[in-house]
Amino acid sequence: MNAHDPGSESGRVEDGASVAAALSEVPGLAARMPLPQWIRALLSRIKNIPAAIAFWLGASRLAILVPLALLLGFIGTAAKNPRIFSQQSIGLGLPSEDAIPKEIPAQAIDTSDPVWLFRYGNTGTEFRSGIPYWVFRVMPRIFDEEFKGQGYEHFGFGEDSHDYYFRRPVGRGLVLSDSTLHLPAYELTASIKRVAINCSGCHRGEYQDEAGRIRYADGMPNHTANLQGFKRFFTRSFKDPRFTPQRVIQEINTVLTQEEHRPPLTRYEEIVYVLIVQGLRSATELFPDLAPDNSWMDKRAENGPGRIDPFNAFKFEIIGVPDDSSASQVDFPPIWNQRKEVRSWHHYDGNTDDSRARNFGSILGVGGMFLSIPKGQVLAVGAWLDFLPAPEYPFEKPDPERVARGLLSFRVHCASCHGLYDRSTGLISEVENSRYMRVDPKVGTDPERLKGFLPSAAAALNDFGEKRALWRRDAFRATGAYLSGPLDGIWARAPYLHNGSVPNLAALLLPPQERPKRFFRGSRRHDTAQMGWISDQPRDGNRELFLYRTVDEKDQPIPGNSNSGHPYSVPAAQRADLVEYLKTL
Amino acid sequence: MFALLETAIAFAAAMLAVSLFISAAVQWISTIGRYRATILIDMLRALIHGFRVFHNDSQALAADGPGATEAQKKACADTELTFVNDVLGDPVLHARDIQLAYQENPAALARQIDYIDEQDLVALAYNIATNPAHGPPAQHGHAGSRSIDDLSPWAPPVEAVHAPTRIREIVAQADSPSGNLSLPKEWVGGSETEPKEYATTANFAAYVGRWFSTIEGTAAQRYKLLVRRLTFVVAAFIVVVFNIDSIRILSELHSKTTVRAALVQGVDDLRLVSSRLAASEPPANEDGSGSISQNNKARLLDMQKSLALLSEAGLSLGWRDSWIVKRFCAYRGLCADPQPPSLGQLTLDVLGWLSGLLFTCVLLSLGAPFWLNTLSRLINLKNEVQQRKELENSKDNGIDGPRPPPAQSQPPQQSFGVPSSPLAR
Repeated sequence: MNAHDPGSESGRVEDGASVAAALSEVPGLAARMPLPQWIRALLSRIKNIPAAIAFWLGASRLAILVPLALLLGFIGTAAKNPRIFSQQSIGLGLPSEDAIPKEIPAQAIDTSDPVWLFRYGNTGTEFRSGIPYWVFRVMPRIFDEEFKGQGYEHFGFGEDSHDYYFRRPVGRGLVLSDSTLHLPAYELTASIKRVAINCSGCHRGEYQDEAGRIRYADGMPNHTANLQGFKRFFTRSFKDPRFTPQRVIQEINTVLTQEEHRPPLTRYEEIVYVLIVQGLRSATELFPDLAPDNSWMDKRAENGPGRIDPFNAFKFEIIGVPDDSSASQVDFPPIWNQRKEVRSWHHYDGNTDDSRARNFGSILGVGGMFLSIPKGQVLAVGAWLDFLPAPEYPFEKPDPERVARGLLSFRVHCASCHGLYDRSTGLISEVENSRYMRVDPKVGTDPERLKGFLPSAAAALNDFGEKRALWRRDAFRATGAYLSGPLDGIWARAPYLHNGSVPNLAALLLPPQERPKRFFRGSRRHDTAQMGWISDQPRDGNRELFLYRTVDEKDQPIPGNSNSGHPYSVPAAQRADLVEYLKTL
Repeated sequence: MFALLETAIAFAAAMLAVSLFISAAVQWISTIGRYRATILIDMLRALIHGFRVFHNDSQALAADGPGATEAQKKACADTELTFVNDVLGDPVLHARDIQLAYQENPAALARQIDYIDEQDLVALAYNIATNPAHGPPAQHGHAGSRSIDDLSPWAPPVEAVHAPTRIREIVAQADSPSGNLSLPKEWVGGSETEPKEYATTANFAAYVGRWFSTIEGTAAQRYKLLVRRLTFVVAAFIVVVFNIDSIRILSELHSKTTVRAALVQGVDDLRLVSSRLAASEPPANEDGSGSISQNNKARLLDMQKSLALLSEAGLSLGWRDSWIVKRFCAYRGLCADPQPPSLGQLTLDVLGWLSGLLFTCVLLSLGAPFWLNTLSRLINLKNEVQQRKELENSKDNGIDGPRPPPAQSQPPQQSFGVPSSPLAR
């Protein structure tokens, strides 16, 4: 006998199914809202309609008229206005959308250009995690104390290079996009612009060159972006008593009239924004699947800039597995040279060799939804990353003699695990019988990331991806150890170790107990002697930096933040030469 | 030869993908429409009605008569539904949270049950008659005064009645005044003053024992008919919505090797989906109850995956970039086409396209098991041809070639969640 469980109807239904689930739960939501009795009764009747229609489809001979009518409708539409089929968007007709400042391109934009896609293309995060533009725009006005007058630069999403655009309405690493669901054969777009993160938000880094100018590098970890802070800010501020429809509408009107010189919101738009703000305020309660609770982050050490806990976000927020207490924060990884010849396995523990799993999984981990991922675009970016070279060391050219000595040292101490990367060919040599691209249980670095990806997690992710046609059913594996990978572009990958717990290479070559237990993260200035970002000063210009700690106030280790392990210290006399050689990678 | 075989494999894969989509959609819709539960309710109504007619119950006979009024029919139906709701709403059939959710609505509670066998049916009826304290809620005017709280540990335990000999045991008590009890009067339209003598547990058990399988078979036929109709409607709907013109698909597959290769690559995934759909039932939760929402979600995902494999392979589905829309567009002069069709050409195109849609419907009517089987046969054939060719090549070169692989076993026929009987597990 099969007794069905209506209680589970409110259970987790993530991604594409969640939209339908959310809509079908309108009557359920009504039960939690103070509504008149007659509305409740009406909603209760509405709840039975889908079941009645579903039964009618099989029970009535007239049901065949439905597809026939549909066919006639399609033919009629095709005959009358065939262009309508290319317009699959739901226009809300909001005049304020036209008031969004236009991008000013610096060159002709080719939307199939993978570099453009990487920097400015959407990745599908806007559907679940995007913030409507005008709400995004007025947040610094409502929560001025949070931004300290810096706008979104405060979170590392500020200025950008001008090779594609002279001006964009949002900062670097962010994208402004309509929300689109990519269903098989159909794309449904809701035309309200939302701000969300894209590939470059985590993987396009910045640094200050010797002349003090800010430079950007594709594929480089965005070590200055505080993604967690950004996410937490919105979660927190949506619950703040100042975040009310009245205040948001008032601020939007101020910006529209005073800054953009446009008319204020219409009455209809005000209604739309009341609904949007109320939805954002109560999203976690009303739509737990679309806006999952992220309070699990509060039980772990703060990530700070340049770090993320993507697999736990995936596990807890998307798959809905119970919190396993692992603190699996990692540094944003570099994503150049992703082809199999160089990186046959991906992620810090080498848990997948499937580039689809790597690409789509990353998007889901930062707020994407499987039906919102523009797979073609993402795969094009993935193919481009395969051959994206690591950026060259941009500072004073390394001394060739010291480099030669450093190379000898590297061959002795490092090459057996990291291989010998040849920048000119983009290939790795000396990998025969080495531990290159193998997981090494002896490295002994902080184990939390490994605890966060046990075989059960691998199985859950495989199941998730297979059922949604995202990746292979055996795409993920749990390795229980960290991967020995290449050191291409190592200068741009500071801080070091998987969790970014060692500020520079000089410190990494010290015995673990001698490494600094506290340092500042997020500076754009490079320390050419130590090979890392300047980490001993609390500020970088007017930007306040994040104090990273491996231990707490009581000198107790902070889970996930340990800088132990990788105990392969190099004789002091060879360290400087080795660092000089590493600059050439 | 290989190109033809590959085209055939890819086409079979495409048809399988669409068939799987339809299977998943049918499962999803039939779950939402509670097809099994509705058929079960109708079946139990037929059973109690037959029992009453068999014993010349005046109310039942009057309702069946040619001059029966609506009031008579309604009274009869209400009586019989009381029986159905009491039996299917029995607390032993439901988890506690289900009972709490539907305690105000016994009819909805009864609809949560998809299956009951004859032994359980008789045992429940006997139990309700034997133990009025465990009957359904009294406020609904039904027999007994049983409530969900009776399932708490300190409540009198319900007698275990799952022995396969129960019907025979109850029938054997026909002559025992203490064992042959009256059925609740609400089930047969009786009253305190005019009890219906025939409505005893022994008579009921005897009737069920004799007629249950026949009525179940009739219900199974009706269920199959419903599902077949639904499958047809869904298939037609999907062919139209996704504009699946199989003639066009065939020619596209023949000309585009990349699409072919991508489809062939997705065969394993299709097999996986088909095995999931064939399993049909979701795994039970820890509390023993299958989750309807999880099942629905799984079906939606299977539907999405089936077609995603097609669209990701690059097969043109849908209306947006479809060939026929482009023809209409060209005819109206809205698209840059060097040779816009005349009305006659357009009519021919439309007829050709409609025949493609019709052909798709015919092919899809063969069902997912057929396409799965065909796909496996074609893949085996291709492997065999390939092996033979390699063997011949190696013989020509004077070296031992690889041995031909053993013939692969055919996958078992799968029913894709449409069992022969709605009551079969």
